Parts: sequence; C-alpha cells; structure tokens
Amino acid sequence: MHFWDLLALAAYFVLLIVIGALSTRRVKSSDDFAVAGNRITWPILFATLAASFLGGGASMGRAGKSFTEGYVFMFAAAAFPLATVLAGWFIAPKLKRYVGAHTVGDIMAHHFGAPARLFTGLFSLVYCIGILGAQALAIGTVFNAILGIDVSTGIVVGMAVVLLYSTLGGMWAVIQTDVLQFLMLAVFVPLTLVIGVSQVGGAEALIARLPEAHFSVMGDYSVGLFISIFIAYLLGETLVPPYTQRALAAPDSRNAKIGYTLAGGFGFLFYFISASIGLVALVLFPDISPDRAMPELIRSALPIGITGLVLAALLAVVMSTADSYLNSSAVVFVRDIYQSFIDPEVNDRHRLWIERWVNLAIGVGAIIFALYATSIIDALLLSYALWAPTVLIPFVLAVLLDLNCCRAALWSMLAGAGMTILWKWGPFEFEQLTGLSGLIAGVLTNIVVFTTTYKLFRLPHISVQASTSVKEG
Amino acid sequence: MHWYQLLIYSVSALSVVTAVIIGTMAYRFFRQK
Repeated sequence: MHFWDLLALAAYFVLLIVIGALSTRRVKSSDDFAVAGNRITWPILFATLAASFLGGGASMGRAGKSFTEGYVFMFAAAAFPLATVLAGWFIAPKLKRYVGAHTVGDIMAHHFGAPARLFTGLFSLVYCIGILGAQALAIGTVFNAILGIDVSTGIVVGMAVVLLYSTLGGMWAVIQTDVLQFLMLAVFVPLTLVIGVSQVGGAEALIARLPEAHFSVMGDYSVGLFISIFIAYLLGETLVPPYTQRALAAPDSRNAKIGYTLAGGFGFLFYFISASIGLVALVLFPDISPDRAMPELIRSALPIGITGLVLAALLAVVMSTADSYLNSSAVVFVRDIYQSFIDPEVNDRHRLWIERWVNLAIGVGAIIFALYATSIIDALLLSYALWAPTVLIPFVLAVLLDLNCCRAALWSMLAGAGMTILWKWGPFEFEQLTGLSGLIAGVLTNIVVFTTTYKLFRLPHISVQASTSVKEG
Repeated sequence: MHWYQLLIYSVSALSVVTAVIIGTMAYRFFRQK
C-alpha cells in the first residue's frame, strides 16, 4: 500500500479512539452506556442503525454472492431491509411505551415475567456473540486482503480498536463512531462501484461480459430455495438486540419510526451497490475467491490515496456492526442476567463498571470465536438460525397485541430452539428431506406452540405487570 | 445512457446525497449535546 493510504487508515483508527475517549465524559450512568440517555433523534438513529446492520454480510458477503450467483441472492436477501421498514412502521413506535427499557428482555419481562427475561437474555447473548465473532472475522479478512497481514493479526488489531472505544464510551461512542462509519460507507462504497464500472468499460460492457442469469431476479435458484432464503432474511435478523436497543434509545415514537423506516430504505440501496461491486469484480478478477471480491476491487482498481479511505470505509462497515453487537452483549448480560438474577440491588455506578468489564470480556471471547470460524456468511447463518425461532415471535406478538402468558412464551421459545436444532443438526437430515430450513421449521413450531399454550393458559394482565420493573408510558 | 448505467449512477448519487444530509444533521446534533 502507498504511504498516503496507510496514513488515511491510521488517521481513521486514531479518530475512532479519540471519539471513544471524548465520549467517556458523557457516560455517567448505565442509561448513558446502554441507550445514550434516550436522546437519539431520527437522523442519528438512521445512521447508527444503517451502519449496524450493514456489516460484513451486507458488503463483502453480498458482493461474494453476486460474484458467484448474480443478483438473485440480493433479491432474496432484500427481505431484511423490507423487514426493517415494516418493523419501523409497526413495531419501533410501540417500543417507546416501555419507559426505562434497555433490552428485548425488559419488554419480554413486562409481558411474560422474569423467566422469559432469562431465556431472552441467554438467546440474545448467544446471538450477539455469534454475530460479533463473524464481524471480527470479517475485520481480519479485510486486513488480510488489503495489507497482506494474516487474518488472525487483523482480527486482533481491528477488534482492539473496537474494544477500546466501545468500552470507554459505551453507546455514546458507538453511535458517534457509527455516524462517522455510515458517512464513510455511504460515500466511498458507491464511489468504488462507479470507478469499477468505468474500468470495465461501462454498464453495457458489464452486461455483455457476464452470463444472463447473473442479472435475473431468480437466477439459477429454484422457487423453494428463493423463498427459503427470503424468509430467513425476513425473520433472521429482525429486531435483534442491538436494533431494538436503538429504537429504545430514541426520545419518542416519531423519531423511532422515521429513523427505523429510513434505515430500511437505505438498506435496499446499499445491497444493490454491494452486489453490483461483486459483478464488477467478477469481470476484472475472475479467478479470486468470492469473499475477496470487494476488497480486491478496492485494492487493485482504485487510485492511490483513495484506496486507504475506501479501505477505512470497508473496515467501518464491519467495525460499526461489531461495536453494536459488543455493546448489546454487555448490556444484555448486565440487565437481563446479572441485575435480574444475581444482584438485583446493584447500584447504577457499579452496574456501569460491570458493563464496561463485561464489554471487554465478551470482546476478547469473540476474538477467540473468530479465529475458528471459516466463512463470514456461514458464521452469520449459524447465529441467524437461533433468534427467529426463539424470541422474535413472542416478542412481536406481545408488542403488537399486548399479550401476557409466561408459559406460552417459555414453551414456544424452547420448542422453537429444540426444533431448529433437531432440524439442522439432528440425525434425520430433515432439511434435505423436506426442503424446509431449520429456521422456518423452528418459527412454525414457535407459532403453533405459542398460540396453543396461550389459549390454554393465558394469565390476567395485572399479574404479569406486577412481576417487572419496566412500566408502560 | 443505458438504463443500467443510469440505475448505478442514480443509486450511488442517492447514497452520497443521503450521507451529506445526514452528516450535516448529525454535526448539528452532536454540537448541541
């Protein structure tokens, strides 16, 4: 890499650490660490949410998929931005009713009691650490592709920076760095595409040099496979802890709704840009590994000076996702497990201290996890399989319909998790036999068990409200 | 201009314009806080 490229990259890292250090002054309580004092207006919510969900999968993963399969995967995965728009319209505004809530577990406890909080906390932790590990691996992949240093060193260096600013500044540091990272990815990733397309010889040349199937909606997918991926992306990442935490950080329903809905809309744009970069890389570098499509285009096709900035933008894409999941993991552990079941009398200052140490510990754990994962998308999908079949259905039903039934929530979560595990990793190879993914089987089981149990055992509304500290505003 | 070229330019420009608007609003937000 050229000296100026390295300088741009170093300047970006220094800026992130400075933001983290300056944010320390703003973090005086656990409220500040978890939800930035509930003061995030919609432009900030939009930027931090978009930066969080546009990670390694939406950038390098999407480019890699279009490199091998064309636009078809982008169309199937567009279910996620669609789900974000729908969540922004119907769910996010309702979340502001739960005054004092920091986590999904807080809301589950409000509707279903303390045991539901424990299960939600555990599933949230597994999910967040899984995605965090995948993003840590993605950071290593970017370092390796651009600087040539080995993946393990890249993971350690990149995650050390994330750990430093997120531990110091909590949610305040995360949202400020997220805004910076959003600006970089929204400017430099499209710039990479425009320069790449011009190097190919224009869009017409791109179409002429690639198979026709790469530009069709269904590509080489069967209808069943397309629907299966569509549903996985529609439900797999929807309202996961860091995204829900952002809606809870908004000052009111209006800001939550606008920020969430616009972020979903921006997701469509970014998916198209990432997927198109994969096609450009296929024409320019047909022999590379698909995961390297985007970094290789940045490294080889861009002029000196720009490369460092775009590399920083690519790192921004994955680091902004990693910091969000890291912050959420720490907040979920302290709020849903430590404060609820280990030390309910913990004071705010001690809780903030624990959140910082847990943030650090989980970050180190994720680095170890990342060193054993082999593919960004595969690692992401392993974690995707658990969220929707467990927490998502009872959570959405509770928020939309104001349902209260502890048994329905617990049994549906356990049944959904059990069915998913049996379906995906059991001895009978149900996925091959039926064509249904483990996630869909788990979600269907969850819905059936929830509705049946709810009809049998529904509790009076007042008994559940008494068991939680979160109040509806 | 070919429709695909127009689509790529439009989407890229929209992304950059969004970044400029959000960047301006975010600057005002953080300066006030």
